[in-house]
Amino acid sequence: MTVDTVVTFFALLAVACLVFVACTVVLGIVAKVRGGLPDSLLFLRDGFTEIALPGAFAVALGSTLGSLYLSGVAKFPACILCWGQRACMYPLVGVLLYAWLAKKVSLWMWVFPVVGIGISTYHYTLERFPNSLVCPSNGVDCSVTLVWKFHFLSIPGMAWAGFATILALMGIAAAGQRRAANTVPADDVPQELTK
Amino acid sequence: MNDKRTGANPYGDISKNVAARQESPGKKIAVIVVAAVVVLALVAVLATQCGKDSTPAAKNTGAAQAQNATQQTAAVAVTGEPLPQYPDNAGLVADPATDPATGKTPPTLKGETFDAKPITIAPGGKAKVVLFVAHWCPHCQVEVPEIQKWIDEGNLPADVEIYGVATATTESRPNYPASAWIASERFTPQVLLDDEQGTAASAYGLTGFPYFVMMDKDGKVVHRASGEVPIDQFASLVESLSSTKK
Repeated sequence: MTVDTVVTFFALLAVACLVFVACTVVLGIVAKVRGGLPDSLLFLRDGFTEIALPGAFAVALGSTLGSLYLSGVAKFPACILCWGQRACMYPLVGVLLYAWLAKKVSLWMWVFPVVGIGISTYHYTLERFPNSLVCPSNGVDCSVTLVWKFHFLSIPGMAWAGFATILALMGIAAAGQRRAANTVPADDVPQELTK
Repeated sequence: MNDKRTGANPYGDISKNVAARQESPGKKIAVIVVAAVVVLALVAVLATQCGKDSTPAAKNTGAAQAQNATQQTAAVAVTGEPLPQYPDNAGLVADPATDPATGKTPPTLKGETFDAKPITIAPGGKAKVVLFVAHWCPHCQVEVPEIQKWIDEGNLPADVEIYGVATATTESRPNYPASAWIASERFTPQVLLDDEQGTAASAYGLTGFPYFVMMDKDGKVVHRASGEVPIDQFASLVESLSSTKK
């Protein structure tokens, strides 16, 4: 099992995650505008609501194992920004396991993926434009791009995909919680929204 | 489960919908997701393992030496005056007019290949490009396949030789061992191994990776470059060494 194989695998997972996030955002907007998803897509909504929290936990676990592989086996050095993203991703394994078992998303849980995706965005931008952003150096240059897959994915790029997927799944879980809390199911569209 | 009698019910469709939802679409989706992950793993294996390393590299190439690697570093004997260091402010390709190494003769390097055969890089005889690379340096990892592609396309003039020097080899750094990397890139030029102190690199005045020293057939330095040199620029520098201009 070479490093290239494992990195390619994680890059493919990241692409799948990005596709999922894009679909979730589009369907989320559709639901917002229409006041609910078309009936034919309700099984998707309900299915993903069911597996959102275990899924988010799996994504956090996968990202953490990937990160440990890159430093432990592939021996890539970690810069300050990498450590910042790790400080957000690693605790998410525990946080999301707790969320799964408790079957709820609390407000404080959002801090980790939100801060994490912020650092990933900064890091990815810094890799593209090394001269215009500051690397808070610990001796490892943040701008060195150790992985570059499919012409767009670097390590912070994959981290971004991980955080975005966790945010999307937490959003799906939170929306499910809101629907369950309402006595009127959300897919019973209020009169004023139907023409 | 689903009551068959609801078939005649005007709300049968709704009941079926409810029943379908009660059958846990989450489980189905979870199974599909797991299956997709397995497929992606297979794709990753196929994409990276196929075609590479499956056949032995051509004889007497750096890749063939690397496939039979018994060592990653080796002692280097240096004879002759060391080259002055590559100037800090020289940029990617040093201007020959201001480079202190221009016109000087690099020292002769006597060392070993990955498969422990003797190899000598000596000035004179043929024009030469000596390329210093470190396995962990991202710019080298980009440059080596580009140069190899350029060689594979038949662009290397017959009167110019390229030598690789694997330097700064460190077990604790990424992409170790260097031999696996050189073999997987199917790098054709012969590769001399630097020792752990970087004797060959400092004798040639290296300050960064990748590092290029180009000498004419009389063994005099014509060009030096340091960093990820674009392949077109590399090509024109190499062609300037050749007497059989295209």
